[in-house]
Amino acid sequence: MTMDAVFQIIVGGLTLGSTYALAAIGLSLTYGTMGMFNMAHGVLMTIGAYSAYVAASILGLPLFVGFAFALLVGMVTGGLLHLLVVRYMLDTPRFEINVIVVTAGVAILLEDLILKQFGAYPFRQPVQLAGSLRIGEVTVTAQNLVTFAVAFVLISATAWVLLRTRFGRAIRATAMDREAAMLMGVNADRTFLHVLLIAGGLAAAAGVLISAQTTLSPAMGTNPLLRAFVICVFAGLGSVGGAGIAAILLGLFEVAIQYTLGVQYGFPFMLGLVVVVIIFRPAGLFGHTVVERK
Amino acid sequence: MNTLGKHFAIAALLVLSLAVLPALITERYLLGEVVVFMIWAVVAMHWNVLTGYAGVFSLGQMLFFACGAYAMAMLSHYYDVSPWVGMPIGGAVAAAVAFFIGLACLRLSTAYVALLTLAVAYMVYTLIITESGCISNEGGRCQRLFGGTTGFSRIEDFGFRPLLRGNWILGNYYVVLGAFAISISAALVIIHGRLGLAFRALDDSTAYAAARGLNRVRYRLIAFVVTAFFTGFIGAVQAIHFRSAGPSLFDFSTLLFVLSMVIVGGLRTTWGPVLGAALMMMLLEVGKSVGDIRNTLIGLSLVLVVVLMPGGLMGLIETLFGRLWTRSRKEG
Amino acid sequence: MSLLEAKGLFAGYGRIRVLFDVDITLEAGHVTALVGPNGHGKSTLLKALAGLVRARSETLEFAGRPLPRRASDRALAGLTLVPQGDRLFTGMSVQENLLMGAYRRNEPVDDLLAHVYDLFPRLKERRSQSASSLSGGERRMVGLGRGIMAGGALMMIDEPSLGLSPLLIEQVYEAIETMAGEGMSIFVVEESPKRIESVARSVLLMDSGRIAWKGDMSGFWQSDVAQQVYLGA
Repeated sequence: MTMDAVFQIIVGGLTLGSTYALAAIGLSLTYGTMGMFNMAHGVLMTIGAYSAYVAASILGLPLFVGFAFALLVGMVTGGLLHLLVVRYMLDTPRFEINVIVVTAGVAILLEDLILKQFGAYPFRQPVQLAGSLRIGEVTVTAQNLVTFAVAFVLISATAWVLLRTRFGRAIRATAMDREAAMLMGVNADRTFLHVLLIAGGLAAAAGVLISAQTTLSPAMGTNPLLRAFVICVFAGLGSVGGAGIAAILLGLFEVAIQYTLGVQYGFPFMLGLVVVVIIFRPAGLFGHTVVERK
Repeated sequence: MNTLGKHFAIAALLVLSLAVLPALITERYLLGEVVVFMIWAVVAMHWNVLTGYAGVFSLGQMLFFACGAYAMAMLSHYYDVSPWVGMPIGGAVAAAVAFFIGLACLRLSTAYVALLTLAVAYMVYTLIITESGCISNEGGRCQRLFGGTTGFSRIEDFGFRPLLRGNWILGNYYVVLGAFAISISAALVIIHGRLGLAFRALDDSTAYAAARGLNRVRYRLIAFVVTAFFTGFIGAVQAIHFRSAGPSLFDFSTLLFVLSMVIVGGLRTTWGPVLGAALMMMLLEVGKSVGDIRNTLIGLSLVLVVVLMPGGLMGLIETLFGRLWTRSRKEG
Repeated sequence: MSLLEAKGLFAGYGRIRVLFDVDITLEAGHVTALVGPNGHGKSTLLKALAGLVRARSETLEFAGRPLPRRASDRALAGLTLVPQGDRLFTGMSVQENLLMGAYRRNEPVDDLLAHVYDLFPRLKERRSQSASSLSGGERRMVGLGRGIMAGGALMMIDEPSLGLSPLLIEQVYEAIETMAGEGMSIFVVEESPKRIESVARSVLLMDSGRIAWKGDMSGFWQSDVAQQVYLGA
């Protein structure tokens, strides 16, 4: 393999990995804080992608505004998911199973609505940048750079909020010990709302970036959702920082496999690697609990 | 009569009424729908055994179903294996696949199992539809090992067409009914037999069960493999009935359709999934007359039932009867 | 005026009733002890007051106002519970734990933090260490420190001596005595009245989910009930 090929893999892997990271940390945060495995996370990405399209193409807003609009719609959808559905299920028996069922139901419902509204045929995401630069034999598109930059900024901002603010501390405290957090005055219900707002926004951003690399289609969320799931398992469900690192690693790994063996083998190999990891470390790479609470 | 005996009586009654049903309806479409109902009811019932009773929430049930269907189709396509032989083999293939997936993930907690089974199913689906090489090229038609995006069609059926002519579906109907009877009996034996007892012990208290020498992972694996066997078995039956198997079996909406049967009928109730299968099929049939709202209906049913009626219909019925029962005892 | 007043309080877990018709009145500015044998509802009473266990009562007033329903709102109102077994946020540092204690306060908390570090110098040394790396005694200090950081009107402490060595128990009670000396209102659960007699002014004795005796600490040992429960007379 030439140096150029290695460099090309790194560029591709970092771009892919940073979108995965964006998709995965919201999912991990939701699971870590609420024990909620959100099957609707993928459709939140789809909603984000279509919102950006609506804002840019139909309403004719500038690209940046289109992106912000997508974020907003994702947050609102995440918030509504909590307010209309999830909050009524908290503290019910078999919550972990039921919430998977419910969010899967929400996912298929919303996906169907998008399908009815926009049709099944894939089309191009207008919210993206054209142009590229060449370094030797290696092509780096402007969209590559934007993807990486946007993911970096959003993930850093999320990390800052979680680690450095009173608001973020309350979220982490709730994740670690919900009852103890309540004794400090943290309203768990409102914290869960905040978590789904954040996760919705991050998912929507990931959706815009993913659709810019591929296309817009109603089912576009399924693939990144499963990858995000796999990344979270790899890192240890609920380990938010770990999910970010795992996403970059797995992104690089997947692009390397795609480049050397063929595109269709990317996901199978990634999954194989993850299965091997959890056989030896059931809690994942960065997790510390084998979350089998009984 | 003990619980198992009581449920076998119900099962006998159900099978008997399904057996006389063709005397009442002769329309082929309706009979075909009842056949589909029986197939889904088996998948739903075994899913409930696994999730409701053994506590393993798998999202890989359609993978096992597809394993059976594909095994049958491929054996028939490549080796002309008779359906009667292929059906149990389909089940065995599904069970073997389940065994390896189970070894890898059943030590993990609920969400992990759900996610990994789903991911494996999706991976298999991706591999099937992206397969690029041809193993043969008959008349310019590329035959992929796993059938590619089109799958397998026109495989050999039970052979009732030359025998019964226009009434061939009756032959299929009774074969499926037989498979249905066997599969639900197996489910009843698991739920109300010794295995079910072990599941209950494990569910009540892991520590106590461990002290009694019950190994949680082992019992989960047994449940996983046995239910996969019957899911694959009925998958093979379905492939023969429709004479085809293809990647559409992996559709997420199909998975959720069967899940909605379990949930609407009532998780952890013996007959809930069968009731749920009937109800969901009727609901979608009514929906068809309104328009293409299948997925909307499935999604709405899942959300509404879990949030408003977490025990499903059977759960609701049990609670209502339970209340009547205690009231009547108090009054009496 | 009394700081906390509960009348006719019943509580339990699901169908299991634990507390029956409990009447308590806590005065501001001193330490009240809740003593009694294990498994008779002492912790449940604290949890019921904190809002973690469902309870119903005729009156439940705190600082002259009815207590809100949610546990988090009660904490915000200034009713602080230092739970049994510390329940620290193990993924956070010592200082972050203490800051979580002050979650209800919107103003800067540097003074309070300094105060807690004065009281427990060990914690200052370990402030950036993860709470999961602490010893049992240090964890207890963080738990108490978190309670102090809340700066509420009443601090309820559930078995501060649980699982500690005699030397550490002494230290913990010294800290509680210091806090009491500063005029804090404290309601502390303790199995053994001996440990608390020098700190507490009044005492409640709980037996089988009911308050069996209440009064001044000085009169406690003379009471029939105390003799029955503790001396087997």
